[in-house]
Amino acid sequence: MTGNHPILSLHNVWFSYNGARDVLQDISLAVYPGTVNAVLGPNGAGKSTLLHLILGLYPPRQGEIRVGGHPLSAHSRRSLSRQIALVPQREHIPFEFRVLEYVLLGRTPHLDFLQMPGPEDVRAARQALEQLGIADLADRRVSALSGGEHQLVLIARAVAQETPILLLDEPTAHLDLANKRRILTLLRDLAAQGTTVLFTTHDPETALAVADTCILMRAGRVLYQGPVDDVLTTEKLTQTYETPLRVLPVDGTRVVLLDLAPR
Amino acid sequence: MIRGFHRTTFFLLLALLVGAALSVFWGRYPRPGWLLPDRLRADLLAAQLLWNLRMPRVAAAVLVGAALSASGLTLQMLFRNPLVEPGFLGVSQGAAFGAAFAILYLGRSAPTVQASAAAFALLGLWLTYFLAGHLRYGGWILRMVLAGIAVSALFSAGVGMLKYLADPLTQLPEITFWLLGGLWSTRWGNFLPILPLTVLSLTVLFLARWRLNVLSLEEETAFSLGAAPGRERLVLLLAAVGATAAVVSLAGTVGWVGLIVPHLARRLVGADARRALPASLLLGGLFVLLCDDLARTVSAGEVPLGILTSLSGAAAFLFILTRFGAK
Repeated sequence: MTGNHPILSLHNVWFSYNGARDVLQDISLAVYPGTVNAVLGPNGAGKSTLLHLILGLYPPRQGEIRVGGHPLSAHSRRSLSRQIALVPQREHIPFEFRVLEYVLLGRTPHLDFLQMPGPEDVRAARQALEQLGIADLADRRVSALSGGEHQLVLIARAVAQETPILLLDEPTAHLDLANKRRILTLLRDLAAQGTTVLFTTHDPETALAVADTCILMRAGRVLYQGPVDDVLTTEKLTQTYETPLRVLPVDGTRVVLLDLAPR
Repeated sequence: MIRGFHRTTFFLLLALLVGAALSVFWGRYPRPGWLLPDRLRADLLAAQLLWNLRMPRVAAAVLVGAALSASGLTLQMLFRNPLVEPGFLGVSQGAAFGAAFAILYLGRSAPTVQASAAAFALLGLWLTYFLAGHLRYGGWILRMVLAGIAVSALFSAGVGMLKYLADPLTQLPEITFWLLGGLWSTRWGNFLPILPLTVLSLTVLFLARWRLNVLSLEEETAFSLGAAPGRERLVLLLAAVGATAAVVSLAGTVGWVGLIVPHLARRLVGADARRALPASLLLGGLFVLLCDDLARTVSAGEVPLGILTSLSGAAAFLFILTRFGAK
């Protein structure tokens, strides 16, 4: 957030899937190195689509996306995969890979086209597992993991990719409180080590807990963006979710309450 | 994990080599059982039989099994579905139609039947791919599966039509026997022509087995790992179907190999294609080799190979599913 250049930026980006309705409209945003950024908004706001565009999965209809100061189109597929890792919202793995084998797939951007991973890559994969505190899962089958473990393994695969930018699509959506806390702590640690984190969520509490900056989206547009303290207010959140809610100060932080009618 | 790979693969390779060597001496000449070296020295006919009939047949059995199994594993991983098999993209039914068509209208000579079967197998794949691009429903996988079902049904109807039109005394038995699958007509002369395409395709699959792991992930994940899923899938698909079309043109429809062997291979060495692909190649070769040994010796006449692979394949499949669950 200092005087750095943004590591990732979007400039007036428009996007539609088949030339129909614009799913993203005039999106501009800047993400700085080593920060945690939350894209917050109701379901269907275009958050996942935004991640897919940053990944290069679809080209914008208009506007430009820059990664590391260069337009997305100037990166090769391989060089981009060394810049940006993705933890998808869900990853169904139909075959019974072992955890270490799956995490090893994160090393693919560092291999030549037909090259197999070597001892260096196995070391990197094991290190990613250790960093996430799940080294003991290495030989387990992916299909035998609990929901929280599964999510940690997905993140480990992305961490093994050793990219400066990490995108996560709803990383805590289906997790219980303990696992949620574990993953949010992890995101903060990764940022402290220099990784730039950008994640989507529909839950303001998650953004409040770890994000440095917050991007509020609704119906394909960015309504507000900036430091969490400025953006996560009663007025702005109410407008984003179009539902009555209140942001209350508690113990030096804030909580978001749904404004239900009294019982 | 790595040591386990070397050991299991080594044993499979050893079993395949020993099995192939022994199979050459196993048969019904001069009487059911082993052909011993003494006899071979004394009997010129035996030596000729060994060289001209059994050797190409044993080599073909290994190649058919290896190709169908490796293709099966590849397609299962590309389609992220463990129940897919090499024939389902319209390839098997296409080949069947091509063979029946040649038997009826192109003169019934073995090379013609074989070439026609291969051509129609590839046409089946192309039709499926083309139709999938025009379906306005579902994602890539669902569209390919639906198009494959439709194309298979079209060719299958065509085969039914040809069988109806065929001369019931000469052409129909030939079509039926071709459809049941078998290697009784294998000689060096029709085996060697399919060798280049099959070996090339299998080499591509073998070299690209790490990419296969990557492509078995969710589309967006594969993309984020630097893959170009569309293009890479097409190359692997062509290799898998190329190998299948080549061996089907020689052996007819040999069912269940491409479905059951990858399951067995995964059970032996795990899901990672770095091990599962070589294991499928070797295990598939061994499986069809043993089935064909039975096919040519169990009775005085030839038992169609496809019947034996389906019978033992389906039985093994049911046994595994009821005992251990899918893998």
